[in-house]
Amino acid sequence: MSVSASGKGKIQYYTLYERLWHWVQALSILGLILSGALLVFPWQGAGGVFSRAVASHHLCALALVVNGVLGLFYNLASGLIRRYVPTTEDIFPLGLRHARYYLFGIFKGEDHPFDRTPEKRLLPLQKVTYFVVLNLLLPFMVITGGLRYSVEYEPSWIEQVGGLSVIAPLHRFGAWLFLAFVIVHIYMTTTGKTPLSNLRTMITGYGEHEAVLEKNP
Amino acid sequence: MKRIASALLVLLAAVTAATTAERVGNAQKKLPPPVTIRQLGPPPPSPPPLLHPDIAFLDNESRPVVVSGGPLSLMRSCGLCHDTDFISTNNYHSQVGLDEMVRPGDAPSGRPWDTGPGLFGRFDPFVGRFLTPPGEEPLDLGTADWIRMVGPRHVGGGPAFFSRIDGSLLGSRRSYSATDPDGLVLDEKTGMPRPWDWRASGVVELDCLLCHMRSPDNLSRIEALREGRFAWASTATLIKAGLVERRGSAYLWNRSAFSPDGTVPAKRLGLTHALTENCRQCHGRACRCTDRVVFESSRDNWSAETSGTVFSAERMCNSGMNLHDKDSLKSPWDIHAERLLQCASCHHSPNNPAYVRMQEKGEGLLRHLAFDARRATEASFLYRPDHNFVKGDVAQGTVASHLSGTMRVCRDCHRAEEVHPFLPFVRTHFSKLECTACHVPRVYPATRRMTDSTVLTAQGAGVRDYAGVEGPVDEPTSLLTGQVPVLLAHRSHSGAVRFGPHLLHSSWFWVAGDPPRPVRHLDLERALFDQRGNYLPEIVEAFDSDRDGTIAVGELRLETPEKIAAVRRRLEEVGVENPRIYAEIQPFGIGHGVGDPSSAVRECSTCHQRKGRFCQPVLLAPYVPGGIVPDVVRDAGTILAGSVEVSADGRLMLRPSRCSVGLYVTGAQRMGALDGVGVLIVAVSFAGSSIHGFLRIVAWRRRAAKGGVT
Repeated sequence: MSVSASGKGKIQYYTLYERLWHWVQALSILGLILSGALLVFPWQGAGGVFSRAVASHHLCALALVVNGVLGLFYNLASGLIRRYVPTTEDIFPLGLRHARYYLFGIFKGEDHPFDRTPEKRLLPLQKVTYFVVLNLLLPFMVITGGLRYSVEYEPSWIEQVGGLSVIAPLHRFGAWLFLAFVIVHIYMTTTGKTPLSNLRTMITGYGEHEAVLEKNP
Repeated sequence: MKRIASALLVLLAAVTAATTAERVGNAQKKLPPPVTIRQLGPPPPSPPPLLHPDIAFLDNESRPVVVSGGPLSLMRSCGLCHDTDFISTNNYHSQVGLDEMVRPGDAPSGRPWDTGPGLFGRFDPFVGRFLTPPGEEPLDLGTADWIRMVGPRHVGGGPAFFSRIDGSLLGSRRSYSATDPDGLVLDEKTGMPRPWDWRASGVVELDCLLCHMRSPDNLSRIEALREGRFAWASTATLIKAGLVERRGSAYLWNRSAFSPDGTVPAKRLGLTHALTENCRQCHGRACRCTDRVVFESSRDNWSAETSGTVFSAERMCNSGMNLHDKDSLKSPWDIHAERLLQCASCHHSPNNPAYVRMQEKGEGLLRHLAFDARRATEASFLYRPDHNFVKGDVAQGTVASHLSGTMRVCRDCHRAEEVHPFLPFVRTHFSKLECTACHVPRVYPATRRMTDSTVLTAQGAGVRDYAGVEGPVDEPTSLLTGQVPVLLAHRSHSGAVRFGPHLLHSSWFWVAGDPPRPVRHLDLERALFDQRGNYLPEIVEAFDSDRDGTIAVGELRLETPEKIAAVRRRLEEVGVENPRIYAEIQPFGIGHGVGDPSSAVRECSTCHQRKGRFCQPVLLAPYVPGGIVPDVVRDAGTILAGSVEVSADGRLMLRPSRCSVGLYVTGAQRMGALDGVGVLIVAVSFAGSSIHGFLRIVAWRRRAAKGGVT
């Protein structure tokens, strides 16, 4: 990844591909949550909504999986995958320091404890969280969702793991966890220099160096 | 390189142009008119001739009936060309369970008194009479009484011809013991058995004419059966054709209707393959929809009353029935009838060469064949047509269960995947649901929901309750509202479980003794009524809640211990040992009544929601006689997904405790605990984020007030 300083002293945190990847994932997950909600909590009288929700869910899942595979390839090929792998140091003591900041320091107006750079743009707790989400929750959802979909073509697969009555609740529980993650994730974007600075960075790709800026809530 | 690219482009353009031209040409080409099954080419100037030769009517000693004057023997007459022995024995319509009889209690139904799975041996709460097994007392239904009572819906032969005890011809034994139901009938006046004179009555042969004649005189046949003139039943079938007439008690052959050589012109009989009209004689008189629209408790209306079957081409809006929102019901009662299919189109003879099925993926030596071109010749089929017709696999089709699922099913004719592009997970739907689950969304005739034979009305019948009708069922002006059939899992003979529409009939009746046997209708009558047919004073005393001196229909319910005790005491007084109430549920699978495609369910939320069809409580009975909660008969193969329970207002309900058994229906599943945990996690996340954000704002303002931040 090339990192270059912007004309106004800003630096590039995310390339175009990374931003596209992020927003495709975001839209897919949002679509999956919404269409999934329509499937598990349908209401009568909404003619045709259910079948459209099924189609939307499948389309979003396809986008998520394809985008995820491409992203994995990109990170593997470029070697950037390393930055997603937390070390024990990321949990202790850095993770504790990071947590302490969100629990106390942020209210006191302390400086962010970590210097975020394009090379080290994932902070310790972020690393741990993304590691869990990308390596456990996302594959879990893809596998359980894939098994649900496989009913149409190879019902014996899902029967071997207990059938739909086992897999469907697991998929549903995973969806609740994903929704919780999305809520916290969106909130955490507001903890940058300004409430919208992180969001702006993910849109434009450019952001200011955190350590040199004044604190805002 | 450029040349190669140019050549490829030219080739591509040529192929595209040729394909387009062919498509346009096909569109412009006038296609031939569709070939119908019935007609090739222009309509014939006159009806096609009957190919059946004239027929010699013989008696059972092979003498022409016009000479002997005796009753017609179709086994002899038809047997001149057809193997009638083979036809009558390979024929579950004739055998009705005779060839599947077992000891009492060993029948698949699980009832301790059933001796078979068919009409002969399986207790039918609609009839309320019990076929007494050999050697048992007291007698309820002997063989001759069975013929008189059930014979109108039986084609003859089988148990009306052969003894269930030793397989001999009925009446051929020299003597009958005092507990031999073959030789006894119940004298309703005395309540005692009396001998039956088989020599006078004769036996009922398989009546080929009932199914193969254009207009058989079924009413006269039934009359002969009820009078116990069994040997003349086939003869009576010919009265309407003018071949025989009845004078007083005698049947006289009309010689002038016969050819000089003693044969009968086949044209006069209209001999043909069995038509739907023939099937309707036993399977449902009201199905024609030309009769007076009544659904009286009659076995004549069997199919309509049990499963709501009306196999008619007529559009519902044109029928004589007082249907709710009738003008909007443009669909025919059954689209297959409208499209000229006959019953035999699907329920054909297995060896009919015209109906050879494509081979399904199977096992064994022929598993590599998609189609077996070898088949019976027309001659061999006509000589020995297998009358074990292919049949469906429904809860009530208990007889000849080894043939269940052999009939043509929807997908033998329809390429369903091609016309369901709107349906997500189409294969999954097809593998889990019967086609009728969506294509029979509503059943319009009134159907019997409950039979309470623990008490008798003043007319001597059990109390009945019907679904799908507002008002008395036998009143033509009563509004037929119809009903949504309940989707239940049915385990087919092959072991596959599919959900299909069902109607449920619950029944209550008394049983007595050990092992239990149904209490005879006669004993219940004697327990409740006096000699003149009035309720006994102690019964009136127990049931007359409003003290007006009579028992109203609403009072005629065993809902209090006092009423139960009163009837039980009276039953014991007339000699019934240890009477107690028995209850059961008989499911009826719906295999007919497919309407116009536009009437089928297309809205996903019909099932995929909390209040969908898989989750709806189903009313089984408006009250529960004796508080006895029924269970499903064992041979139905139906799985009730839920519990049968009594509601707070005393009604019997089927409540899905979990939306289904072995079937996950997205949107219909309740996962309260899981969703509760999920909501909690999301709520904690949201609340945590909100509180954190709020505290950040508060902290920021404080610091701003102190001038620490801008």
